[in-house]
Amino acid sequence: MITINEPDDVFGLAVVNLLSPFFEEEKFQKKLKKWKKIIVVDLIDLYTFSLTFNNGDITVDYGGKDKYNLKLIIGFDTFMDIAEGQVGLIPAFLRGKVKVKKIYNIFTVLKFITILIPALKRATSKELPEGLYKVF
Amino acid sequence: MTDVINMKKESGKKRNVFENMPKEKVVEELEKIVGKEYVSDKPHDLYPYSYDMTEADPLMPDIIVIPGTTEEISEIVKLCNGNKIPIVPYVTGNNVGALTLPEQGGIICDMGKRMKKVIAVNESMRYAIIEPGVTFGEFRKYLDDNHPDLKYAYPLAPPYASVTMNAILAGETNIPIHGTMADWINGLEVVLNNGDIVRTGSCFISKEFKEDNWFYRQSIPDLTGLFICWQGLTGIVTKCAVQLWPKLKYNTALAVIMYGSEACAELQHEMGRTGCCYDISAINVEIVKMLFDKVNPKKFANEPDWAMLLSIEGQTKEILEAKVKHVKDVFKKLKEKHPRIFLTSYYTFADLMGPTINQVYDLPNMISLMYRYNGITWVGSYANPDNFAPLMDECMDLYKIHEMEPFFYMKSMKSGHYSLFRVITRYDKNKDLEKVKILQSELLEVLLDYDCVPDKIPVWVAKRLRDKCDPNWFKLLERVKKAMDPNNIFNPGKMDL
Repeated sequence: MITINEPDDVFGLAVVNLLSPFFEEEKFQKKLKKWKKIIVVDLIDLYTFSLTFNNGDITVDYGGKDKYNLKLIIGFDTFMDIAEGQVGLIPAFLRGKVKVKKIYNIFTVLKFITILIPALKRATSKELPEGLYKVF
Repeated sequence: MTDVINMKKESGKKRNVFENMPKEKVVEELEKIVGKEYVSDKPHDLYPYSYDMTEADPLMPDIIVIPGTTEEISEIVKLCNGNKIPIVPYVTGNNVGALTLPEQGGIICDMGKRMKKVIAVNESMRYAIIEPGVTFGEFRKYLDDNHPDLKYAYPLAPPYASVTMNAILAGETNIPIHGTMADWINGLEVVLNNGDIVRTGSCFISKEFKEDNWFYRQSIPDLTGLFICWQGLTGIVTKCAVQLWPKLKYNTALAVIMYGSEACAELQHEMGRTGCCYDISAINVEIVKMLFDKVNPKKFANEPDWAMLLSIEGQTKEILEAKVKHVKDVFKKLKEKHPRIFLTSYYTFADLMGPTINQVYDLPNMISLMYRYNGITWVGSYANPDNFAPLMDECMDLYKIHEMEPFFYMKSMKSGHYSLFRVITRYDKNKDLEKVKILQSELLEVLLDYDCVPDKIPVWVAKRLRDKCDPNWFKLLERVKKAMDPNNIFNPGKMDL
């Protein structure tokens, strides 16, 4: 059973929307069952929020944390490009558009990627109704 | 601080509605006109017409009549005029200005139940002639089903709101590049105080009603203006010709999130001036959270302050892309001045936030956040976009002082000619009524200081305008009212007349 809090900030609400469709999936439950990590996302020029994974309980908070296992520093435009699938997280990292603190926690990095990317893909891959185009 | 008492109904103004004809006799006469089943003076039937969601005090009508035709309304008005009985036009009563609450009692003329026909749609000249009871939801469905290449436009009002009433009250829409809904009126059919049925606009050109000559309003004295934004004080509108718009095949929407009222104000105006965006709507970020049912949503220090929707359409993909490119070029220049503005695809933003967010995009819609409490009110206005930044800041300060949820809704109108500025307050009538009245009066003062022109004005606002505005404007208003309605039967008391 996966639980998530009701965050009060805008991107926190987005995180709930992104992750909650997976909560019923056994694979996702297994992935988070014994995972205790704190991940900080610093959206440059916007604000920072944190995800605390605690054995299946997820908490999203406004602001950073003093102690964390992983910190992603990413511009809003890059984040949206990744969300739309226009650029991959790893290529963006290699180009210096995503910075990672405590990258030596490689298993945490990889596991978080397997959580974040499918969630973004699932959310943004819906077809638009007839007549609407993503022109950007 | 403005005295709250200004907003309360003054006592002792209730007129002797039935001094010329006893109520029982009036009911009898009305029954002869419309049929017995469409008249009532029973309290349980009258009650729903006596209040709305605003802070206005409830006001009970004496009789409800539900006509089915213009001719019936003409007979009803003759009866009222002959006996000096107030008559208040009503359709769905969900305006946010207490405009259909009967200030002086009398008869509510409910056109929302039986006058619901789309009389004609002219595809060539793109207009529709409709009766007052046609709602936005019904109109959209009718056009989608029967004229799929045409569309009307929709406000934040619920799907059961009346198209005609919004049009004659200069309501906002989701294609403000074309102005308010009042700009789109080609003509009206109106019942005057003596029962005459008059047609205004180009349709005056034929003696008989014709469906194909409601295409235009100017080059003759614009008598339609005698009924627009008059709140039913000069006659009862029974038909309305509204312009329709082509459904362009290529549409996109962009979203902006940003910090600072100056950036938000300038961005709205400059995006309007591109002439590329059909809709430019800005809201404060707390509204996004209200969509997720957050009560008294927190606004964190580093969260963006404002969000904006830009809607762009094109006849071809190339035109659409060219418009988007121009919008992005203008945005890029603005970003040099205001670095904390961020542009993205609205659809991606909506995907991230979830389907709830689309309530404000796919109109008409029951936007859940508007009905969180049992009260909703506003000070609505059309405004000078050059004054927006301090206007936004001062209004936001008032919401903070009164610890109420801020709700700003703004649009650039007609490619930047002017703007819509609405400060909306949702509240618990049982708890916050007095606080809301004070907030409303203080918001009004700020708006007037910045030359905002109030919209769908309730009586308490009209009273304040009398003190503040050109006195000759009010004198002219009174002269027109007296000429059109010497017995003061049409919605008496509204606009403080």
